[in-house]
Amino acid sequence: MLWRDGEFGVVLLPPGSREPKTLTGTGRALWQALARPMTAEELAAELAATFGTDAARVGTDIAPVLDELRSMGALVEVPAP
Amino acid sequence: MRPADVVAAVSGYGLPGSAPLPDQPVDQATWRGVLELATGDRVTPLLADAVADGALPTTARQHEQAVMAHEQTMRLCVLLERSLLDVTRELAGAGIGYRVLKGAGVAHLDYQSPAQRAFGDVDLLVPSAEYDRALGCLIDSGARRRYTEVRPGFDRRWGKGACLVLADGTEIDVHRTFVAGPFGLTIDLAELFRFTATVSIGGRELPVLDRESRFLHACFHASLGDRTPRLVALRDVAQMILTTDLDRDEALERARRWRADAVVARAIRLAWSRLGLETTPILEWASAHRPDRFQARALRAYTAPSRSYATQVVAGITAVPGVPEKVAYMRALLLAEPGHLAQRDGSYHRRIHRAWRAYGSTRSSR
Repeated sequence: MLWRDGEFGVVLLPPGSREPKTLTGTGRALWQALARPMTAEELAAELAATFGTDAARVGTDIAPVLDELRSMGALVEVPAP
Repeated sequence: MRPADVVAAVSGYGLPGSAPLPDQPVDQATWRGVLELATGDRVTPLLADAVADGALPTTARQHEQAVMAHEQTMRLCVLLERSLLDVTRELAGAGIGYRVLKGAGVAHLDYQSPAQRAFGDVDLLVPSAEYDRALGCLIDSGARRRYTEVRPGFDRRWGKGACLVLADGTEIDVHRTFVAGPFGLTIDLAELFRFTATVSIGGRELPVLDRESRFLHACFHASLGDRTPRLVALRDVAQMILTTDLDRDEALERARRWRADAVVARAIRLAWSRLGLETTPILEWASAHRPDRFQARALRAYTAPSRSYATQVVAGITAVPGVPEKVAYMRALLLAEPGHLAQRDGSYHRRIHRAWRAYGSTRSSR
């Protein structure tokens, strides 16, 4: 995965793609948090703490983003240790 | 402040001893100039950083435009990195050695974040012995040469390299050495492949020059590359000196071995002057440096008002060792391929005239 992080968000170029995508808004915090492997629940809790909101609500909001990142090959699921 | 002054100060942003930035938003006409110059000089990431940090006050609209310009630049950079990965896969598959030069390597290894360094093409160094095979490999995979070679075999023996263009328009500069002309001929090319490091891009480890050779390449590029060097090239020089663990003594020792310490001194003087950085001991060294006769004459081929590709390659004869080799070099220049002449100089006679006039001026101005 090729990417750049800035105030604009995160520019991502998934493997095999020639069209970069930009994650904006809270997508940047999501991407930065995913630098460490974690479950979707842990990610929602971390973002909820960062933005001072409800983890269940965040979990619902980020689910489609995680699906898109997975389909792009930007996110890989690994078995929990 | 004029747009050029703002962009020059922005280009030093974040470095110790950098120049002051305006303390209030510039007017819209100045801002348009700032954006245009920052884009051309590939320093939009530094502009965006200065704006994001509040070091360069802006209106809301200006702030938004700086962020958008940074995003556009970064979209290009990841696309170029994709091309870099594709091209180096081809070379590695053919068993051809290479080193990643400039943009991508410097962005990932010499800046705090690769998002701080923009670049506009892909640069690779290949060994002279594998040069023809490297070009053949990339042309077989769909690239085309931008310029015809002076004479068959010229590039491999004496040339800087070739610019290839991929089907999508991406430019790949395949270097044999750093620059055309005398300073490109005195570099110890084997040394460049001996002192190496790696850079991680897209999950792959790619070979690059070590930091000292990266610094020297940055100096060559800033000193000799363009009539007016891009600000990003000058920033690279100051960046490596002021923010990395560059071994300056080792770098200067290599430069002396390559008879190119004057190139380093000039790059430092240009960087400090254009970026408006505070004086440091290395600037004092660079300011006091006096080139020897070879270097003074060679420098003129790159810096004189009559500077041209022809001037540089003709001046290269001073660095070609031995009479038979010098004769072969001049013969190749004087009997250049028609395709090369048409692309570079328009006509055979014009080329000959220009080359000899340039060579004569470097001799007479000693």
